[in-house]
Amino acid sequence: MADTLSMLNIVIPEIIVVLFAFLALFSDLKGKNRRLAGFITLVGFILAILYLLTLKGVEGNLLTFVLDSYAWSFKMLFLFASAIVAVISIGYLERAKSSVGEYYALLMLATAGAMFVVSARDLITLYVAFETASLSSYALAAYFRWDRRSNEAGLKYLFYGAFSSALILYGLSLIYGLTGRVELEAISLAISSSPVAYLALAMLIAGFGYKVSAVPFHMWTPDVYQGAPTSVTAFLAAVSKAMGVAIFLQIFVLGLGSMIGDWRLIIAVIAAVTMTLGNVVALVQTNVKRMLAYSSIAHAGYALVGIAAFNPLGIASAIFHMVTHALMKAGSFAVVGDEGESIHQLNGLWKRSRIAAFAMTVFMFSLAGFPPLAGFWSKYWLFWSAMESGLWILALIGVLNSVISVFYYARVIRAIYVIESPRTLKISRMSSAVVAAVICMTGILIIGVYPQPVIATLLEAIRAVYP
Amino acid sequence: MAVEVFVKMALYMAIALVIPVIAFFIPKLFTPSRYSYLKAETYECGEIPYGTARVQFSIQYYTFALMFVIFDIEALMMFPWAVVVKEIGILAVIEMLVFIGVFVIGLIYAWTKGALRWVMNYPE
Repeated sequence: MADTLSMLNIVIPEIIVVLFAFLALFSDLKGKNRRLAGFITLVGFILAILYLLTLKGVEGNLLTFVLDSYAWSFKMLFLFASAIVAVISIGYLERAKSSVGEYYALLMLATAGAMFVVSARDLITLYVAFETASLSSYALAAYFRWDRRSNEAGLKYLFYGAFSSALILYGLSLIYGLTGRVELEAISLAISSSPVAYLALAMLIAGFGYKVSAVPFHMWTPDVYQGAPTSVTAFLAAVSKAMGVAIFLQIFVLGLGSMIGDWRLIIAVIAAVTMTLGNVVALVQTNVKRMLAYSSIAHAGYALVGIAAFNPLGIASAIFHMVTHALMKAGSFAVVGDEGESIHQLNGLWKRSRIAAFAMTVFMFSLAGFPPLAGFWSKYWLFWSAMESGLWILALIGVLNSVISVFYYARVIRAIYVIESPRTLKISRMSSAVVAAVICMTGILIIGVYPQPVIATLLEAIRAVYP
Repeated sequence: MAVEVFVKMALYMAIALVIPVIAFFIPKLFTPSRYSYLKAETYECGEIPYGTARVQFSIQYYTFALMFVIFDIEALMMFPWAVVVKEIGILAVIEMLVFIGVFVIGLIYAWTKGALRWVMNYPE
């Protein structure tokens, strides 16, 4: 009892986030203090980040809640990405027609849910935390109630999400039935190949495949990413997707790692198909949000390459790829939210805002994987790890896909610099989206030039999940 | 190891499926069946039914129903908690207080937003 309470400090970042969620909720009851709620959210995230920094290297557990360097790294990513989303939202929600307190509260609760997910080492905590994050993001996607596309996005996300949750729950219950245990480590020792285990595996791959939008479970992604408010799209791409990859690591690598022979080929094929379909379909998109949604599908495929490789470098670089992907996607959605979602609205951005144009260029080059940007290193290590595990074909498909993807990222750059636009008025005011884009750009440049500390931290961190 | 449990479960479910069928068909074989007006009436738990079944009610009930369900589930959560509260001790009490506190905050928010106000503006 006393021991339990003495470890209470490891859950304080989550407590801060939840308390500030309530504060943000009540700060905007009349719907007038738009910016105040946003700043409260930002302060909450920054305080949580600062407290989390003091917990670096701390290991321990509070009942079923576990803090180790793996959970720590993911929490840092979630908090940082959500803080950037909060910065984007402060400017983006000026156009909101209802009070924004609910929006920020949901944003913080979704982040808290994601933070609990990576601290879960048993099926029950994992599922409850994961649903907390999911339910909040369904409501966030439908937040622009007056916009029919936002409604469509929310409804689609809810239905697909509920269906995949049902599959996941059924798969988890089968695993519990087979092993009689809920702790992931105990499951990995107790489980063995059997027809029922294959059924559970199929359910879990399908269910979590929906969450990371892996092909063929990706159908919801373009519609939801396009229809949701752009700040929410940034959240879905940066935090929700990273959470999906984290669950993949916890369930498949930690829990079902002993069945690697049974699922490796499936995940490898899914990774190859996901990369290819995401990149090929992105080629013909004229809506930048939709194009980035397909690119996000492709990037889920890249992360799955690391899981299929199933070696320390592969798993660490899958997390690393989620870090860089979060920075690139949050930044590019920030610019898109400011400028407009059709590619024509980006025409001549260079004339209007030098900073936004340069930041967008960095994001596009990084997404395509040009050295020396962050996106290059994560892809490089992912493909390298696949080759280390003998998955030559998968690495080759990945490299070919990177080449294909250059084409549609280059179209955005062409729109920004080459095509003239009648809108030439210079934007002098520094919008919150530009601030967010600059933060993301700085992160990408720093990680691109000096990636060793990040990958070293992650290689250290994955020892918690890699057997 | 746990497979025997499933065999027992499957057996139990099979029996559970057969029993209602038997219970439904055996009386059919033996009882006389005479229809009357009273038997064709809508069943209203013993009350004499009146009016039409197609009643319109205000959409505002939906907010109240939602609030009710939330607190209903909250009460449901207390049953498993009550079984183990003695075992876990003060920590369980604190946890439940936090749990209820979150609901109270939600209720206060809904209240301030006017979700509990009944607006009489439906057309006559």
